[in-house]
Amino acid sequence: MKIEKTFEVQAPRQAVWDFITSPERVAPCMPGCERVEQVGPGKYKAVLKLKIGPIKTTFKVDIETGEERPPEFATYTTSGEEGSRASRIKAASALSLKRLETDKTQVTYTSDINMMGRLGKFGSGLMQKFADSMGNEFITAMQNKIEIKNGPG
Amino acid sequence: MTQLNVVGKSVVRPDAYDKVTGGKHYPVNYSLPGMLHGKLLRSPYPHAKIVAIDTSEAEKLPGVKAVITHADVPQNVFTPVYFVPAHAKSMVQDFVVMSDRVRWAGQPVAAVAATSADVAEAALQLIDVEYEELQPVFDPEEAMKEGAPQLHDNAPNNIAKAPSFSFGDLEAGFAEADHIFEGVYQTQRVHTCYMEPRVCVVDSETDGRITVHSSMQHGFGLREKMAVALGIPESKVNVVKPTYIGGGFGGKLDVGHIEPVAALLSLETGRPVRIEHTRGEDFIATTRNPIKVYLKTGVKNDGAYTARYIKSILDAGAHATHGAEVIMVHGLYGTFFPWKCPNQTWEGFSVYTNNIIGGGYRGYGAPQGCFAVESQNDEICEKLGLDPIEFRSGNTHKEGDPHPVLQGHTLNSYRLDDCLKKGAERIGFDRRAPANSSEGAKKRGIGFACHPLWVSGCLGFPDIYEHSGATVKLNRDGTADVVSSCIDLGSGQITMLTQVVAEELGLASEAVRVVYADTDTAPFDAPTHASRATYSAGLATKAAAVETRNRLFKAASAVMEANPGDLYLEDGKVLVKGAPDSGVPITEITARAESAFVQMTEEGPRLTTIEEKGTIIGSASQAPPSNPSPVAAQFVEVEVDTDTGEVKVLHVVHAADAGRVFHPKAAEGQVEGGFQQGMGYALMEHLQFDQDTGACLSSDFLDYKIPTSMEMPPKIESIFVESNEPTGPYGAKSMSELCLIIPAAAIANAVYNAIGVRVTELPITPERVLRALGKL
Amino acid sequence: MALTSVEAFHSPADKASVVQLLQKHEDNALIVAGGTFLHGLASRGLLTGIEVLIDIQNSGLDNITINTDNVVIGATTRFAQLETSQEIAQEAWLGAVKDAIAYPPIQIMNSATVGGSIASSCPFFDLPTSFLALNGAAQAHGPDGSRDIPLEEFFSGLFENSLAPAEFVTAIKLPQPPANSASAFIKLETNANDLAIVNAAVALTLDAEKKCRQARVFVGGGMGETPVRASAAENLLTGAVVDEDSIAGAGEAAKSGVDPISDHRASAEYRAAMAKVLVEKALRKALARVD
Repeated sequence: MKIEKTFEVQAPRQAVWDFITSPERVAPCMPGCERVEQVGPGKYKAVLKLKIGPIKTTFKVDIETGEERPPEFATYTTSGEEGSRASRIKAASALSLKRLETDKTQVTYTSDINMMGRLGKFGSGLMQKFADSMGNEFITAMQNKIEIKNGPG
Repeated sequence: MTQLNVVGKSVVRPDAYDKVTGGKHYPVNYSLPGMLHGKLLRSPYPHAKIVAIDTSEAEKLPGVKAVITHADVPQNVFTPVYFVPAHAKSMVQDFVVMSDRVRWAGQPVAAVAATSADVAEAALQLIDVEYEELQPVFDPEEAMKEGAPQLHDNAPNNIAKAPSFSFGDLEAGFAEADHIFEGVYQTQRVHTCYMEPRVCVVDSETDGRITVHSSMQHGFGLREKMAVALGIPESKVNVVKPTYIGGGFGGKLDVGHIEPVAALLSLETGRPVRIEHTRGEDFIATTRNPIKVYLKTGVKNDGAYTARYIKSILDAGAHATHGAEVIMVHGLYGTFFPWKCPNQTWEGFSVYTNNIIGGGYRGYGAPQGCFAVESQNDEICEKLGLDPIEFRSGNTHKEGDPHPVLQGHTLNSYRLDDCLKKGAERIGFDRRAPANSSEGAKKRGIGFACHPLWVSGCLGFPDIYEHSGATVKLNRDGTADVVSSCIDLGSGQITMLTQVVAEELGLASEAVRVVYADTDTAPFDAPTHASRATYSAGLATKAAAVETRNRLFKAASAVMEANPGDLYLEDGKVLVKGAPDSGVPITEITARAESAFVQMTEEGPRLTTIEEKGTIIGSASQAPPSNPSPVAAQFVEVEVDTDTGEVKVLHVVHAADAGRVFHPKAAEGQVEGGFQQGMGYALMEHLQFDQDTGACLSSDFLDYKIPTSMEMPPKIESIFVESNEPTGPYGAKSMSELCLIIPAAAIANAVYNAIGVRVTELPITPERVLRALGKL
Repeated sequence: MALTSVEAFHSPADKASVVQLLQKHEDNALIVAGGTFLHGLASRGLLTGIEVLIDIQNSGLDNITINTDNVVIGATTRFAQLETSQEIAQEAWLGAVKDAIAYPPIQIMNSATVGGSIASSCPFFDLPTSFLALNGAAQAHGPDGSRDIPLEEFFSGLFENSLAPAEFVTAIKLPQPPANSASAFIKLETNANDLAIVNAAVALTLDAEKKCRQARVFVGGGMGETPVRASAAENLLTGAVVDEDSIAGAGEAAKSGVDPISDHRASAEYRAAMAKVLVEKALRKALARVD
């Protein structure tokens, strides 16, 4: 499953970069993200609690930063499994920030996600839609946070 | 041919009542006291190495009695296919029951035995497996390229087997052609969808002997493969023949994982262990191998073949197993020898990929071949304006021709021309309109296909077992018991065996019972597969019944003071020729045969003879004399909705030469059931996998679609042209696999006739139809 | 996988008890009626952490009530019960309901319930598309009593709905439309036991001149997380004479307004093309039903 999102944030590029690369600030914007902790340079552990109607799941994931070119580009690999080991997730993601104006940044996020196990059986079709809605929630939440903080007045 | 009393009649199936009232003798219903339940942990990755497995948490779970991993499984490498020896030279040995190398998503990596299936399932989640992922490859043509991930060390470019045949001069043949046709025909991965899952109960003795109950198609094959997998002598394994099974269709022709794993768990715990596949597990346990056929054919203006080049690429999946044989059968009997072409070359490639392991499925490579060749034949006739029936007739064999594959054998019975003629008449082929000529959004079309060469068993195939045996015993109450290792898959083998014995012993079919058999006590039989049971097991059982009859006549001759050669059987009596009133009931002969020499009567002691004593029993074990080809042609009428792309089959006529028909109703049932599988293959069935992860996306019947009764055509007609196969039992040969080999090609040709464009990839889904029509 | 985490199974006799149980067990409880959706999820191992099942089949919710201004179908009404209802069989405006229950096999007909088909919020189900076209509302009962939630608000995402905590669906309400109304539903499926690859439902009200006073057009089955409303098609139809031209226009508008999923059952492209075909077919079918 491939996800690509491009959106604009009313904030300078460096501010967006700082926000996105600091786990404690970005985590609350991620739907279902219960906890993120840094376990080493560029290495994080996170707990994601997701709910799709009556389907509930908790993923424990490891996130590792790959290439990093502040404040414009970074890659991440994510891997993890459900608490019950019934599903595994693997993702290769890339983030790029483009300065549009002084206070306006374009964010492009791509992710190639593989889900295995019980949740993989959904097939990519529905999960794509689900991931899209989650992505949109994330974007809205993040825009609110950064834009309020850096916004005028 | 002599008058037959039982064979050729639609006698009541002895298993019918039991089955419609629940079928308590299905292996899935078998259980033993103290039985444990096993479950398999499966790899989520399609290609990986196992770095470590920690089972300690699982072992601590209350109710868990044993946990095994690859480290506990003998690393014996063999071919798990039942019908060949485990180390057959013509096959590929690459399979072990559990390995530290994962080659497909779903491969078992550990197993648990526990007091309940739920506990076992819960324990699986406590097993921690550390994998090192490897790059997978899912497409066979990608897998053949340099640099592709390699699945097995001794198979460069992932080619498990690359057989080829050739005769004539291909280049000269193409040079001679007036027209050359080229096409690529792709078939998909499908499942046999047997109703009863793969299931087994394995028990063990303190001396290491094991007893196996399983839903499978070959007891002796299972015994041999179990012995090889576990590294024990064959005589330590007893496989009990299931009374019947809930379908196999070729999908239960190999030992997979459950039986050896259950045996290991049983040996470790000392308790019987049952393992049953879920439907999702069954869907990844076996499949008909997809084959991509590149087909190039040269023809003269009059339609005579001049040359044909065929390249077939078979997706074997993670292990060669059946894929090493399916490619051969596909080449020999699916594409190359059915048709008479003077210059031909076929090249086959059985290729490893990180897909699920292929298995048997009725037709065994022929449906893929028939779809390709008969689609192209239809294109040739269309393009050159040839009569499609004359075209088939002109390019196929004739009765009395030498068998194209088996040296020294003749096509004794071969009525393809009659099948074509009668089938065409019945459907009204002469009313067929030119392609795409009906008005409106819903377009009708008629098409047909035939398959000019198939088998009645495997005589002549390298390494494939073919002999059969039976024991027939007459009881004092005038009934007969048959011990046979021939397993009834649902297609009526039990009925067939009772008909044979009843016929030979002058009994009603109800008086004959097929009874308990296991590999300890019964003679060998090859599996129920390859359309062989009636021909091969039927002949052997007939021979056993003749032995029994001879024994009966020997006893009767003593009782009746007549020459055994002058005796005959009728209505449960032994009679002397020329003296129809002389009859002595069989029950009297058998009673005397089983009684004491001196019998007390009211009149005092009566002496009987020594000659008449002893159980009236006969047995035989033999290979069949030949491998006659059944033939069939199938005509279908379809309606294609050009708005949605949906294809509906309206009418089917299946015309077959099966020699003598043993049981007319069962034969019609085979036509209808076979068509259902063939139509599913043609229109909807498709085991689909995530192309990134290899995970099965169609692991239940919500996502794996098969035709229900609602999709079945309202009219299916069976025509059996009478022929007499002189080598067969009562003139019979095989029939059933052809019923599903042909439909995909026949339906594809009918769809072409309806809409004027051809779909060359199965299944012919609504979406593919719309794409072909240029509407997407 | 079995529902091994279930510790209790309740079968309350009234709505209040259902609410009490939902309040007590919160997310660990699941309502069950016919059990078809539950089975589908459970057999795929997707239901974990469910400790309490609340069977509402004995809660007195299986009546079909015909009022002057609406039809109220109790949540535990089975599809087979709908089939035997005179109104649903005869009323042209309920045609979309009659059509939707003509597809399922007998096993589903005898077990699946109307409330379940709504509450599960599965985008591949059939009745939701029909009920949306009929401007239906879900009647929900919760700690604060009962309220009606228009279905367009009710379906909020994949398997998600806008029920508040401890609320559950007790009925579907279908408002009686003006005279000269009819509706229809069409489903594309692979075999007779299938989820919709695409489905479509339309409801039309014509005026005396046979012009369309009102049209509601919905497309479901892989169109997205919920069935989607084809507003552009509705706008095109409203005020127009419903004929082959306007039907074709509406079909085209429905197609351009959807962004379906691609999966192993069909591509997005095919689904979009079928949105057009099915909307057109459903419109013709509904039109033929208007007196």
